[in-house]
Amino acid sequence: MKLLSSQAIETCFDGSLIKEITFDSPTTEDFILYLGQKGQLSYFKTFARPFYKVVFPTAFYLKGVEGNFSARAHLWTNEDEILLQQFIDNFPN
Amino acid sequence: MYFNHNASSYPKPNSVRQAIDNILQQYPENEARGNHSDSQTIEQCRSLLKSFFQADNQEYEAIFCGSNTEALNLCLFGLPQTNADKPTHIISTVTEHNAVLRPLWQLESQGKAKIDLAPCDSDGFVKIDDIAALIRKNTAAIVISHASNVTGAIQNIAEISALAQKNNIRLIVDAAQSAGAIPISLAQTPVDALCFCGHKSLWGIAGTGGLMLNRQLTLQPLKVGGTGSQSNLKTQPTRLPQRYEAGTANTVGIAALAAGIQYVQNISFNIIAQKKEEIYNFLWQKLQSHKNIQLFAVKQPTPNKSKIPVLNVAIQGWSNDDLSYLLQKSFSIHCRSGLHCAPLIHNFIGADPLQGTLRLSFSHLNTLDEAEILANALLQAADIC
Repeated sequence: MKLLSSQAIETCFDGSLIKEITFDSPTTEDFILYLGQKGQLSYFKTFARPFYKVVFPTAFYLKGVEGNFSARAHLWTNEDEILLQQFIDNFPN
Repeated sequence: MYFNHNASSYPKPNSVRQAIDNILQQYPENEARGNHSDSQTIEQCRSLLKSFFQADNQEYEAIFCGSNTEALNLCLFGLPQTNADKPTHIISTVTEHNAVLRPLWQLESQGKAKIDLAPCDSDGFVKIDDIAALIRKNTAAIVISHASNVTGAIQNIAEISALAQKNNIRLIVDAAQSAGAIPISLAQTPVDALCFCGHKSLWGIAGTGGLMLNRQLTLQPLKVGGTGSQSNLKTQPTRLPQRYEAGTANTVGIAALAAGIQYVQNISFNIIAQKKEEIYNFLWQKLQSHKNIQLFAVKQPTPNKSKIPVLNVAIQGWSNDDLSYLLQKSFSIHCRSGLHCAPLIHNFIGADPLQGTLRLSFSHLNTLDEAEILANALLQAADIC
């Protein structure tokens, strides 16, 4: 799993940043469960297209829908994005 | 499925798309600058607006702007100062959109205006007494949204108009949500300026808006430049509408606006209101009894408290942003979450002042089948909390 792009879509009033990130392949259950090991996972499989959200220890989060090539990240600092990138790069495909 | 009509209506009617296509295929139509086309799109739309808002041509002029926000900026920044040494006193309300609030706050921060905001009740209605209590000797204007973009509450403009006239105060009405959604008669309810946007219930496209301006109110132009007339003058012409319309007009947008207005006229306000009410009532019935769902809206409209149907939702355990994301990405249902650019009203309607609400807004094109899918998606989200 590779992160192809990261595009800022909104700056929040508290200074945090929302980014739409794009992967090179669709998000899978394995990937979502892997990310869940890095933070607190909410994973609702009963929806027509399962929804997930992972809140990482420093409070930034990633949410998305299984099967999509993209997800939405809510980041507080540049370090958050670097950390997220590392998590994604280290996913054992 | 699209439930974000308070932001912008969708899909645009075929007649609007056709009007855009027609205008792009003809020679450029450029009012007062050598019109190469036989059509009179701009003037026809001006006439149409006057008839649509029942505005007497002797009393009102239709001024085109790039948006409702620009129209409001023109009114608020262009208001004549009653006393150059003292800030102008302006009354507004907590229900306003930032299109009103931010210009007002900017004027206040520059020392040019003193702003007082009237409160609203839990449904978004502003009491006339609360506005009257704020009137001072030097009050220059009341600025108020006709219908709240959050709750849909329709303010009693006739009452406010009478109050303004009695006290010799200018009345500026933000009709972003009401224009095209409910009948507006400037003959019955005179105001100094009625600002509207083209891409919501008038079914035109983004980049269009304007105001119905009472000719007795002279504003400072927001922009100056070429008008195609009186070009020998160093100053902006005083004649209307040229005084406020420097620059080449958005003929494509104006053609779309005219087609959109005719579309509304052809369907009729009654049909539009009835269809929206049907969707609103259906969703209300489906969602109102779930223990994890909170609804913010006008529940029982009465003759004095009418509304444009809008349903605001919060679900326990879900942030509104996550809910909106879930609906869009998992169910292909488009709606809007957040403060809806109206930051103050949430404190008054019981919503989270930082998170706002999930807003479901409708058009006559929404169907009960769509509403059922939406309701089931929300109920499913509420069940898993």
